[in-house]
Amino acid sequence: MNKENWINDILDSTAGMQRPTAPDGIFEGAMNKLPVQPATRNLTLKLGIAATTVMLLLNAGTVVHYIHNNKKNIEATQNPGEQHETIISINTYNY
Amino acid sequence: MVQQREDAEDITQDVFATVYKSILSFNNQSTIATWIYRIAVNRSLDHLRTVSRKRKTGIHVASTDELKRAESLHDGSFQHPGIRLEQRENARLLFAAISTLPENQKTAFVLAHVEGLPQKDVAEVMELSLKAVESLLQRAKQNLRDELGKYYDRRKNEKHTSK
Repeated sequence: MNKENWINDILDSTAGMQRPTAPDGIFEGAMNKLPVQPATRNLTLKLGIAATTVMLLLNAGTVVHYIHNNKKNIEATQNPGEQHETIISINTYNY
Repeated sequence: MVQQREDAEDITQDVFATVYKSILSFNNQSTIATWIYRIAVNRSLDHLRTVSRKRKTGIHVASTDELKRAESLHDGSFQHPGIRLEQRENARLLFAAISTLPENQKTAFVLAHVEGLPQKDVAEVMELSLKAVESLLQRAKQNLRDELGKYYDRRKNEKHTSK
């Protein structure tokens, strides 16, 4: 065998060798099941929306509660005033 | 690339540990197979650099003839599960010659001709252009031809002198 053929034989010795082959898409399939960044971002966004809604509801609730309480306070402060006037009139009875 | 079963097993373990640790940093810009190939190539090259450094510091016996030294390193211990039995002797010489190539030529040649990856995938693993990979493969083949040619001539001369 001459030199060139010998070299070609050596270089072709990996031809037809068996190689392990993984099924297509197996890695990508596994990757899709992993929690990745976009999912984390969605979760953060949802939590943010939920927190904002709760805060707004609490805020609105506080305003309604305050208005309701304030009405009672106004009534309460007006009536004792009248009673006070009555008491004063009793105390100033002249013999 | 490393050609020693024990080294290959250590590197495989290391590669999968790295994959496990950094799987969440994988950015889907390439396929996961390409990404794992890249990690494996880098780990193998790191290992070869360590071996080469040890050799330079005198742990291995230095020889002037690279192929002869490489061949002696693989003699008797050459194992490759995919190589057909009748090709084993030729493949042993080829792998010995591959180990004399510069790093980038070795990587390109092993990925394309031993792993059987298409040149496009080799370019992705090595983060090079397709043209650069073609050029590397051409130079690798030429260097292998030169190295094997020198080995052929020397062996012929040895046979003549022994007669």
